[in-house]
Amino acid sequence: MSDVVLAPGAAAQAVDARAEQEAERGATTSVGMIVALSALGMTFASLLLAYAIVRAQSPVWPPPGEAPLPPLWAWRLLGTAASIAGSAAMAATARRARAGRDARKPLAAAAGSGVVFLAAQTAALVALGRAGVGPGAGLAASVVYALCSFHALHVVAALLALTSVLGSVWAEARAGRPPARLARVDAVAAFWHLVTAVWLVVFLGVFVL
Amino acid sequence: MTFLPALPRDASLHGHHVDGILGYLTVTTGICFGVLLAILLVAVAFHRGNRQAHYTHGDRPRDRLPAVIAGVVVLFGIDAVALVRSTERLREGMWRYPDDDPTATRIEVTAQQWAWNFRYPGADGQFGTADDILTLNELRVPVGKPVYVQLTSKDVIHSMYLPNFRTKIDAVPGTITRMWFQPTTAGGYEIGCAQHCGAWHYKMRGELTVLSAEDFARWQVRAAADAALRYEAADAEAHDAWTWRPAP
Amino acid sequence: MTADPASPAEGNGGGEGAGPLHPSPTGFWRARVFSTDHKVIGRQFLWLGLVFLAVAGALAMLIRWQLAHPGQPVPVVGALLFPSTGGSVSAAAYTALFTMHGTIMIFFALTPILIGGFGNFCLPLLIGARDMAFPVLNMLSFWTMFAATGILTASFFTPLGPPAAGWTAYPTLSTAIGAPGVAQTLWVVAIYLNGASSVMGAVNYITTVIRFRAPGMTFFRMPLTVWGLWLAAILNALFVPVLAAGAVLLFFDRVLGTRFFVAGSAIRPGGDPVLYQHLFWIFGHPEVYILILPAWGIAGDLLSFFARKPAFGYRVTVWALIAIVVLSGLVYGHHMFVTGMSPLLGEGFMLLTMIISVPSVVLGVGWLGTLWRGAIRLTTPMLFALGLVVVFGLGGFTGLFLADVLSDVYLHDTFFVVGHFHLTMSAAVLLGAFAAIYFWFPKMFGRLLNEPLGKLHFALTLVTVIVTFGLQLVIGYAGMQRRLADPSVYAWLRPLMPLNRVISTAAFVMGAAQLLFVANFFYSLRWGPKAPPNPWQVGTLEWTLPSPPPHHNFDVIPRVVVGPHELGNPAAKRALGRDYQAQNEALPGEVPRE
Repeated sequence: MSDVVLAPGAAAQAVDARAEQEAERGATTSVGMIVALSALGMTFASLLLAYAIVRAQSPVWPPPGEAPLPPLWAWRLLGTAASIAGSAAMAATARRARAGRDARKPLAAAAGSGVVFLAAQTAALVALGRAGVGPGAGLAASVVYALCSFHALHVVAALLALTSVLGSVWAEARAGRPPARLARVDAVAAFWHLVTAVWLVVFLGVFVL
Repeated sequence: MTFLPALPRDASLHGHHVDGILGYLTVTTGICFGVLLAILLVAVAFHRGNRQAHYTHGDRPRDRLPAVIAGVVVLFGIDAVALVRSTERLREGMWRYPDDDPTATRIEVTAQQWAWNFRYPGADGQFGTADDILTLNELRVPVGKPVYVQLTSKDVIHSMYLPNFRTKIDAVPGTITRMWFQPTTAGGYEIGCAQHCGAWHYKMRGELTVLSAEDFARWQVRAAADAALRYEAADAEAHDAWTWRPAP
Repeated sequence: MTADPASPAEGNGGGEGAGPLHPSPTGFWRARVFSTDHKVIGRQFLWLGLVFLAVAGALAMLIRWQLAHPGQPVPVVGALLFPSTGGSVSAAAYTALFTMHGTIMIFFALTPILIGGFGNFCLPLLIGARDMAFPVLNMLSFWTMFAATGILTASFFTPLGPPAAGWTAYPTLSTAIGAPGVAQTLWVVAIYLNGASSVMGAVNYITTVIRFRAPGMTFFRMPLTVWGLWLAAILNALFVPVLAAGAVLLFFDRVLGTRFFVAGSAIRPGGDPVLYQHLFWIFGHPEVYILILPAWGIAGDLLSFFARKPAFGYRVTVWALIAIVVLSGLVYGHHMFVTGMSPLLGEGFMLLTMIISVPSVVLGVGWLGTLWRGAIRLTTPMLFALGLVVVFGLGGFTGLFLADVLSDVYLHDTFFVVGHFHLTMSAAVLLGAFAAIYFWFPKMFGRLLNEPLGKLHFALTLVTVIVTFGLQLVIGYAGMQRRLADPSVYAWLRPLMPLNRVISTAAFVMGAAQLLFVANFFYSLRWGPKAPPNPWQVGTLEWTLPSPPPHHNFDVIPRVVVGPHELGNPAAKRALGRDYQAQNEALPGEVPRE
């Protein structure tokens, strides 16, 4: 318990106790999120390792016998921009929530960015399919389809995670207090940042390089 | 009935190295396990029941001695010896492929569900030409000379296992792997598959016949004549040889 | 809003682990099915694991029948299970048997029993907490596992037969080339969900140990059981995702037609089947340590408890466990020595694998030192712990044969490997899990198991485990490959068939002996003598509570003053009149050791 010198009254004590409770709970949530994100990071790291290995083993890329894939820069850049914007918006959400300010706008912006990202990714994969490049067209196509769709599933998960804090951000914005579960907002933001970071690695590693 | 560990008859040049390390590890780990068991049984027999247990946490410096001794014995007595000796033997044996040896018999192996395809280069020494000798499940090699094998698979991963030569290597679709051995004794031996490859994995048996030089030469002549008869230029599948991979 | 029981209570002075004292939920669904109480979830995992242990064990009996009497109809159940072949195990059925035996044993028996079951039940109690850090996540972790078992069970009943590519599922046998049916796809999904459940559990266990230890419960006062579970959770969190990645790529290859593991050819570019093996074994090797770590921890504690003296070299033991955990991620290549890897890689993996023998030896010395000059009580849990030391010693040493490339090239894919991992895995599950069950049954269910029956169960299990898997070492030494539906196809293996019959006989006795345990378990659940709070007279925190503990575990969060193995202390004997000291029990006038 914190050192409280002559608490003025029971109500103040209750607020202190509650704040400490929240801090404790927040630390627990943070630890849990670090473990969860490490595990998820390992999944993506392994997929990227697999990509690195197949790429390194091939004398050229795409491998011999495979036509280069249409890069679809418009969709990819739009997706990348949306991904970065979403992370920035989530960071802003967490910052505002911590300061006790209205965090609804950046939260909504994050959600919107997520949707834009998913739309861009879907459009890109559809365009690829229309160009006659299916998942089985070769190793390069396999990498694009597998990494992009698995990553996109986690953007969906991030959007779902966002809805889990939606309620508290909305309610607290009305009442003007920081959300009771600040740590959860931080945790959701951290998840978003991981998903964005993975996309940036994929974007650079698969499409640029 | 075999209760003692009876290794298959060793018919190879380097097989005794494998038997040597197996023997060394059996003796040393056997002794260590025996010591473990003895201490445990003495404790259970004599340090039991209503006596005053010796109250110690075992965390004084001198308590660390048994662990240090045991660690050193295992690390240097077993691990290091095995590591050094085996590495040496691997480098001068299994890993020294006869790339530059003109007397080596080269064979391309294509494994499939559930048989072994063997391809000899024939008189011209080239794989994929009309004089290649193709056999199914029967490998004939001359005694006393290296046999150098490169392998792949048509479908799933198989593994060519020669128990009498203490060696095996996977046959991987899309990859060329390699193995070599040198038979020292003529006779008939078995080839097994050592990687689960489907329902009839257990039936994927081959026969390795080690012949004297003259017998092998005689067989080659017969087989070459047979191959010439069988050769069909239009049969694309029969020509699935690959260019022999030189030393990396 | 704050409905979860794991947030700190006011005035309880207990840190994060102290929750408010909620009354237990009363509705059937909330109390018994979708409970968030770690004790209920632990029992759910235990039941699930025991059921699948029996299933996998039954599959093993069928495997052993086929190896002893190839082609002969299986007695009693043959006509029911294999109607199309007149009751005998067909070649295809054999491949499905060993695939599902391995898959179920590792993922759906060992993991749920040791980690899901005892991990959940014991962890909060042992560290003095009211529940796990994330009780709802805990509940979801069980139901995810349950869903995985449903999907795996479904895979048995698909048109082209159950999964049959081995528990390792190497491509291309596990891709559409070797496994065209839907069963293998279901297998991949089941494994993925199982992994998700494990990772959820890992998040909980890791966080709970970090955040919820009772005041005074420093890391070096935690029972070794907690260390084992915590380190296993860390490995789970880091390496199960690697398996998930392999599973995802295999799933895509099967369902979307990607070509990660489907080999290329002259006309069709493709991937590399061996890539899967890298991903699989980067997970697979840590996995075997995930399975044994809880058992090692439990054994370390039980040996101390029943030798009535502290664990010998507790700190060194902990550092040895940590060293093994770190090394476990670096040695995986020893599963792939015959795939054609470069000699340099082979030498590297050989060196690292051999180094792991050193901390393992340190563990063994610690166990022997704990026993030496003790006042050993040969209770059933103690017998199983001793059995674990013997069987793991035997199995562990045989690992050296497989670490050395020269011997491994000969022994790879023979029954020597099967004997090696069955000895070490049996040490974990058949001995370690039984030790845990006999030890914590009173705490979990409030009744005592029958001791004489337990000892008989132990004796039969230990002897048959050593005979069955020890003789497998022998038969593998003689060169017999694994996964052969009928070894007598090979002339050089025909003389070994009598040995196969001996192994099978031992295995059948092993299976039958487990019925003693089943009978004891169910009888004692209902009619066993009521268990006192501390029947074993030991000092870890769970034994300060009633058997079974109330919903909220601790009325007051304990304040820990000593380590978990304070037994045989003469000062305690004088002060308390007994030879053990509870972890939250200070001796009058004593300053607690740090």
